[in-house]
Amino acid sequence: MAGINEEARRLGKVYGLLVGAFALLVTVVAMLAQFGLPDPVIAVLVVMITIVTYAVIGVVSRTLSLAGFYLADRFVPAGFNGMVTAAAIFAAPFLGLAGTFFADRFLGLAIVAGLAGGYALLGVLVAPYYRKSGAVTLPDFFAVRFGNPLVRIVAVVILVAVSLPILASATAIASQVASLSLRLSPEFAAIAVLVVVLLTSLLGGMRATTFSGGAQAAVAILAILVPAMLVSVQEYRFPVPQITFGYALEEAARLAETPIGMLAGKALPITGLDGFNMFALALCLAAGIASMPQLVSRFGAAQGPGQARLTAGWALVVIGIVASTAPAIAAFVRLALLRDLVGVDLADLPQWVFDYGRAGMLSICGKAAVSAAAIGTACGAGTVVNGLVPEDIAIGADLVTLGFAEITGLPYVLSALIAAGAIAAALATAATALTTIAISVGNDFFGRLFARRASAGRRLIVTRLVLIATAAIAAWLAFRRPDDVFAYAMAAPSVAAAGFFPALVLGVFWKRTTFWGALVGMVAGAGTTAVYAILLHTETLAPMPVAGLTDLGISAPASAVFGVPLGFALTVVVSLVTRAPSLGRLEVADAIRRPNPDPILEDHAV
Amino acid sequence: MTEVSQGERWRGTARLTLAAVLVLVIVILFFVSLVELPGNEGYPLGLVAAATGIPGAAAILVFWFARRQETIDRRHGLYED
Repeated sequence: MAGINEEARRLGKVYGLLVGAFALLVTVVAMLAQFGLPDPVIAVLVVMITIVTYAVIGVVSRTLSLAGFYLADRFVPAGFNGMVTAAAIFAAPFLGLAGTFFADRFLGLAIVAGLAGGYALLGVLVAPYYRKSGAVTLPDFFAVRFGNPLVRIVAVVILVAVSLPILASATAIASQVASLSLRLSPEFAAIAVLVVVLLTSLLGGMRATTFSGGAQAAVAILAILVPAMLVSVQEYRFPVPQITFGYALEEAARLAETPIGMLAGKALPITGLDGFNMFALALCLAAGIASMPQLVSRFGAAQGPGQARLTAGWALVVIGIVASTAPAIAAFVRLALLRDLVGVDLADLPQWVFDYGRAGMLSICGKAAVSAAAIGTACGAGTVVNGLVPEDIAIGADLVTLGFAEITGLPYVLSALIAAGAIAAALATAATALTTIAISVGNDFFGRLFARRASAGRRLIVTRLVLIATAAIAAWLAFRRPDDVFAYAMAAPSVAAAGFFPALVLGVFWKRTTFWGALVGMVAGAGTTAVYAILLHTETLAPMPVAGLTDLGISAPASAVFGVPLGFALTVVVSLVTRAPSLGRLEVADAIRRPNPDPILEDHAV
Repeated sequence: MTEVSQGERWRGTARLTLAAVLVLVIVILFFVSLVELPGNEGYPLGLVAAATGIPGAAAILVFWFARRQETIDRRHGLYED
């Protein structure tokens, strides 16, 4: 254990220095801004320097060893691994969670409960056993536990169905934010993002996503925490936004009885969810996080089962920072909108209204808010005289986070910081999903099924080729079909939950689970959930109502509410009617449950 | 490290796991139920408590779980290092 503590201290020192340097950079840029440094230069300095840093870290942590590329040498300390594990799904919560809290506090809490519950389940039910199995990927875990190549193939297919939409959606988020903040053309931004994602994954695999992920997580945390703290100090002279946002909500409730409208965002759902759907969403998200391939595979980088449990704990600490700051961001934005837009003369509206109106993220009276004259035409004479009322305004769900600094009147450098944070979160998510797909195809398809005798070097080459091809497909999807990609990414946790959660949990906690049971449960669970999500999105099917529970119908992000029970039921029933597992299988199941090193599982390591 | 001790260890582990999952569910439901308490006008204490409390409690739960599991493993001589 001494080794891992030493490593933790070393990493703490290096990343502490990096964070310090970044904070210094932002402070210096903020000071230069006082002397008239133009906004585009500020954005380029803050955003570009962080992005170049990730790329450099990615290149420096290149590796030629299979264990490094697949598992970061299984030597990542729990605190650091937790940070990276949290960042591995940051894209959606960073960009979208404040928007969901803005739309509906219960929806926000449902997502927080799903995220927190999911990471806790991951640490309690999945992570230590996954780590103990010695598996390299999630499909590898199923193959080790159930001992049949068919389950490996099915698991890889589900893994790609889950991770590819998330990869494409994170790529799209990163390039859209980059194009907005750096004023780049969308094509150029997409290419730049693709290059950075490749640099942080192609050369070093999981080793590189681990070390660049740490930096990305740190930037994302600073980017969400610092602006919220500044507003909290400005307004309430107390630097804990997680507490002071209550006062902002109190004042906002006094200022306006009617709600402010919203436009749908890219990252998380805000409409079509009633009470039952929110409850179902929390459950699906929890089960989905606990069986999300790119999160589960991060625990393979932990030193052992004990470190894997602690990793989940540290990931929860990081998730908690983002989750508890999001409602504060939503509350401060609400208050600022009510103060600065409602009842104000149209000629005195702040400039950011028109900037974001042109970007399609803010509409007033149902029309994009491109200029004061356009708003006057859209709203009519009454508004020109009396100013706007709250229900005239509709704010994009993602703008609640992205526009936070401008809306609350903070200096421009903080806008650049938030953009850097959103890009960091999206890049971390994209690179983790990309390496997960590539390693799974490279290891499970090529290494374990087609070319079992292939040398480590050839496996590495194949994995890297798969990685490049996957990145190209994802970039194409992100650029050509962004709306489809966002919709499927929101349903992806449900597909993961229905496909993997029953087999994972039963595989560990019920030794009678057979290969056929797991296989049928996975196919049926993931199949129904994915088909339902696709039918909903293509509008072939209307959301299915459940009598007495929801009239709106089950929405796509909550669709595993059928799939998970179906998966559990089929896994149990089919396991009971098929022949009991052999003694050898039971020994493997026992070995997965024991924490100490085990000769039975030794040969599954890289 | 006899067969019996492995069985006992696993029973303890399973009990601990079940307890952790139950506590997790109860804690989350408790915090969500705080949000719209009657007579909760003005400062939305319930929401403030829930937004920080849910992830905070989950983190504490996982660290507690990891400690308890380590104790069980050590008692049965199965600790990994």
